[in-house]
Amino acid sequence: MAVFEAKGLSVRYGAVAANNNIDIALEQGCVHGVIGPNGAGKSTFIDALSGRRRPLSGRVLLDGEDITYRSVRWRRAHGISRSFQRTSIFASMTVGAQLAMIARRNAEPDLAGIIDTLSLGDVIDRVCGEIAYGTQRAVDLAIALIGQPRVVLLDEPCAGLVADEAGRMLQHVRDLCRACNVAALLVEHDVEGVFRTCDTVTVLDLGEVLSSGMPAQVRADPEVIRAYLGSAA
Amino acid sequence: MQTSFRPLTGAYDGLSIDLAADSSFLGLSSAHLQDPGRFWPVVWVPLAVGIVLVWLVGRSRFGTTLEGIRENEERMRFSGYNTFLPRLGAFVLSGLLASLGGALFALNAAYVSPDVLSFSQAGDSLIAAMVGGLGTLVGPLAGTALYVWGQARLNSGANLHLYTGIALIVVLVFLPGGITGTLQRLWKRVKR
Repeated sequence: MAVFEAKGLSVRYGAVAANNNIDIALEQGCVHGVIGPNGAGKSTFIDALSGRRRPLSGRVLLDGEDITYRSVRWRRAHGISRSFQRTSIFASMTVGAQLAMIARRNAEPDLAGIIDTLSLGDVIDRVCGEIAYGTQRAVDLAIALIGQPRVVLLDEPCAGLVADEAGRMLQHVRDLCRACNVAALLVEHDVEGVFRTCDTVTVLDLGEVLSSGMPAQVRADPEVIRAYLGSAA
Repeated sequence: MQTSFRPLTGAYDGLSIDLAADSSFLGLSSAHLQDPGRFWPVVWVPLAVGIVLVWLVGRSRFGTTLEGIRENEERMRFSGYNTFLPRLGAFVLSGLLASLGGALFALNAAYVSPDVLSFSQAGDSLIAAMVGGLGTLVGPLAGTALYVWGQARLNSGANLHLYTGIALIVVLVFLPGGITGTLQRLWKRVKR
């Protein structure tokens, strides 16, 4: 059964329908990729799911319970966490201090494990604003993974990373989600990376679901090829 | 507004603090309150208590939470923190300390007028804190010490504001983090 669902979710900015009637369902231990061209409504969709923006209509469900209008804090306390497209860290604090701060709030039993998995041990005493960009992205991801969340919404975790860094990051996300039985929603620009790593894929275009399903199935969808991937794919 | 509250606030004339001839405050008469030699314990005890209080807050979990909110409020909320109450607490605490300073100033000066609320007065304490280094405990103390020293030594030509402005510009352009921030960076470099 789906742990986290959106049903008929619509978000508008004035007259512009940024999200129109979007359905999605996340399963535990699976990574669900969301791709789409710029302006397709990917970030808006994550904002609506994570409580940052109120949807116009539609519902967000956690274990079948309607949580559409629950606060950001309520969602985090009930196992829904997110990361941000623009690196969102605590620049003046050391890596260790900020992770400890978040861990204390979210009762993380194994912070050392998270630090280990994301290879942050070497920079633990460094001030976060001074470390390499790729490492900052890892800190950003670590903050989202603290507290054993059940649902993780990742807004372009690879934004700004070079190709092999991005590949490793995606691989990492998938392994972690499988190992911890987390349901992940992954919004990403890197189409090939998403097809390679995600268990299911949704393609958005102009705020609507163009296609959804297994990667191979979506890749072969004539609608997707026509609107997004181009005839070469 | 100004005229209807005049008996209470004194409007632009301000208020003088008049202790009756035979009454006293903390055992000090009016004349004693204006005598630096007699008044200093009344200032230094609250200062010391305030420093210890702020130091303890800075080391506490509450202090860490405030630092997190200062750095990235949105991420704090998305990490499950209530950010409103700590911010309210911080404003209450800094308001408390500032009002303590204001009360002591009024006792010593024996007279307050709207002029003490003008930016040239209130802004000076902000500038002193920036020159010393914001976000640290020692910074504002160092900045204030420098300011008071400058006031005593450089005020003869009525050019104090010129020097204050120069100090602020020098700090903003050349010494990010103020005096303490610069000393910290130098110390780090020496240690390496």
